[in-house]
Amino acid sequence: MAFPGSGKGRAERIPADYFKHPSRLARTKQLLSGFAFLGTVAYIGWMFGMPEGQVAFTHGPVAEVHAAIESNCTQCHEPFVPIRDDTLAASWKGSNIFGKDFSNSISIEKCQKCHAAASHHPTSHPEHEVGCSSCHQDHNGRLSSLLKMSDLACTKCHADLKSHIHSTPDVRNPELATNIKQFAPSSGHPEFRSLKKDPGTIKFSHAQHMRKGIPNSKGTTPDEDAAPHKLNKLTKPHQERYRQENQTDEFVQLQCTTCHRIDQKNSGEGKAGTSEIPERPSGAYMLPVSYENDCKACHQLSILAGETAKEAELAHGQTPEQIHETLLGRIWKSNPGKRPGKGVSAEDQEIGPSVLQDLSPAQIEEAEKSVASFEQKLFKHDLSETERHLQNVCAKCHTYEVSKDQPESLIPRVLPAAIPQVWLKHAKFNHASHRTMNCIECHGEALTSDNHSDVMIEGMQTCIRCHSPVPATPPHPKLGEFAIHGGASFRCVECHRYHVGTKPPDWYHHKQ
Amino acid sequence: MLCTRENFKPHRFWFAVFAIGTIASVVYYFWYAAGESRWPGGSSVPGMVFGVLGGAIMLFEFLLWPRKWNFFRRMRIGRTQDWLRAHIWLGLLTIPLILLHSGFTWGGWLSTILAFSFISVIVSGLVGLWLQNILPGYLLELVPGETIYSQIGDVSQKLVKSADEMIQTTLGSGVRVAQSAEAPAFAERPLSENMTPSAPLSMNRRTAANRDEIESTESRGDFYYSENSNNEPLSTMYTSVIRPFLETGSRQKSPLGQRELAKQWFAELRSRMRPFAHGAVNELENWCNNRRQFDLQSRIHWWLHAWLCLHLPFSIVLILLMFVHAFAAIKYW
Repeated sequence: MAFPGSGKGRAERIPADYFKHPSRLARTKQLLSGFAFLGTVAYIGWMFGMPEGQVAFTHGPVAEVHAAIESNCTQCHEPFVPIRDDTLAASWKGSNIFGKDFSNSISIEKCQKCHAAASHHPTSHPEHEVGCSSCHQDHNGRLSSLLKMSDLACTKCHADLKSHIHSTPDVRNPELATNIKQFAPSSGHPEFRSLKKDPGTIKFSHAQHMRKGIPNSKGTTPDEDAAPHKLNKLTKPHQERYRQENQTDEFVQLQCTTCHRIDQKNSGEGKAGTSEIPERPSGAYMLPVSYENDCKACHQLSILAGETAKEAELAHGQTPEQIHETLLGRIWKSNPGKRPGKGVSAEDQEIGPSVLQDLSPAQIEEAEKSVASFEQKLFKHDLSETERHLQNVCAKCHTYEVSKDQPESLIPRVLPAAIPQVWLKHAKFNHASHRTMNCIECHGEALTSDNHSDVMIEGMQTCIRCHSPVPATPPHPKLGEFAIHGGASFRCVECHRYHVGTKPPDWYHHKQ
Repeated sequence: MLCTRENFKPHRFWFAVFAIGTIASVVYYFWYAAGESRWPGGSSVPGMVFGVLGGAIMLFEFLLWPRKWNFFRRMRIGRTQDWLRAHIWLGLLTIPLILLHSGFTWGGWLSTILAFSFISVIVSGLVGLWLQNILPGYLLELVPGETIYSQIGDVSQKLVKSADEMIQTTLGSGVRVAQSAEAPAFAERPLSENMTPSAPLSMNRRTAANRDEIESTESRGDFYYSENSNNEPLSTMYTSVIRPFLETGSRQKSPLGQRELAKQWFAELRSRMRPFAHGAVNELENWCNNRRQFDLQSRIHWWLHAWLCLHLPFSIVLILLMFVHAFAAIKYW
């Protein structure tokens, strides 16, 4: 470019102090930098100065359950003390840095201000015990669950259990699984040991009871059976209860839910506002099967046969002494001539110890002999035709033991029913959560089992069909392609508890 | 450009630092994460290491700005080229370090704002790096008449002043050049005795270059000036088109804003002028070319440096909040 003017003019076209006058772009840059600085300083002032500003320090929203204390970090955190054991700072545990003792006991104390959780497993090695936050990690969003932890929180011990616990008898138990990595047989998870054996002593055939008419013989249709169970033989309330929807015939057809019902919250208590039974999760457990609710309709405990049977029923669950007294009273009632107080009607006689008060020793002895003879028949099997109904009183269902030394006159010891109310001793199971499934998917053996010692709860393989990654194992043998395949959570915490154990709480054993 | 083999040679050391640092950090992080239930965060071992390293690098990156202050510039701490190379490659290394430090989560408000600032700094820096490699070549090629950017306005004013003087010389002292492009004023035009209204061509200004020609034609008696004389196009065009363009450039719409149009425009103007005025027209055309170059230079300069209006402010935010974040993280780790 040929600039006009002389050389001096050209030299003077750029003032020597041009650099002192920045361009508009440079001024804009300076201005924006100034705003950025001031804005940041203001923001920092707000964070440190205002109570609600502390929320900015969090590295993620806390779970909903802690949202009320989110702006108060010191509710859970001790300043400058690490809260978790898997951090770099945790390697300085035991040190005293910034004047603070670097141990996780401080954070544990803070959690225990609100959460009275039990300590770690009694067999765990103290040095391997971690703080609460190592497993229950918060700051993962409002919808996160502090209870749904990854399997690694469990398998860091259970994948090599022997290294993390003291040497106890449990460890020497050969059945104890010590290398569990995941819920799968191939990953070390053992079969459910609670299901190996049914400790129950009640003689019961599920297969028979599930057949129409409850025939006595297998393969017999209700019409062929000599004495099928019919609705019209039941009392009216029971008829309504056992009649199925749209049923046209009169044969009793039981379903699983006829006897097995889910434990609902305060169901049947009828007491508004208060309850004798503490609050409990609905559907966590099944209600125990009871004679009065589920058996009595067909199995009356009558010591007399024929039409008078209903007049001579024993109450269920009596002790031998109570049975003795009851029988004594019944016999006395049925033999008016031998009763004291002649002229007094049978109905006026009280049945109880007072019955024998006015008897002579000879009369008492005679009465006792009669009762003893009767009692023995309750537990005999080779009875005559006329006495055979007595086999249906106690011995029908109950198992009893007779010692060799026991005289025949004594009632044999009836073994406790011992039906477990909760089968899975080391895991939690909720039937209500599984209401989309058919009973036979997990209890299919009930349709074919005649033996009361059969457990009839399928083991781990059934659970894995759903509680495994998709796609799961082959289709269910009975339901085929309609069974659910995989996709349900298979985390440890889905079924296992840690702090409170997996056994049902003591309140469940409250008599219903 | 950076990516040519020759230009890349000096960068080899820093590139190796970047590559090795990235690979080592990624391998270590994923090895550590294999035994964890979730991605290790900032308080984990790799998280802390990467956080400290990344923070230290960011602090070094930020020092590039105070290094330019007079006080530090005089100290001449290292070569500018080395600083810039380190700035580029260490800045790139912070990407994997900070990403792994975060555990692939945004975190709370503070860490989210930090992350946003970090991303802005990185993106603006990368854009700037790219532009700084591409545009200077264009500047060199397309703007041979480059001047100091901040002085473009002043230099343009000087151009205008020089053009005014030349026009006055060319068209005669009686012609006063209008200051406004909208209203060319032709005050106090001296009239020649030999002026006739119908004369198609005339010249009424003398230039030093063609004074002899003027004098020779004057002696022939055909030199005159009138309202309809063809010296008016130059005056009119100068006042209404050329001068405003020299002053403001492409900020206002002008036929001189594009090279080809301007070429045609000046050719047309030349065709309407006597030969002795062609020199002036040529000079004006050159100056208009220069003005167009200044406009191009402005645009290129803006693209070359505007990214700093994002890069620097966000860097300030990043550094300040980084310290706060480190303090808060240690306080509640």
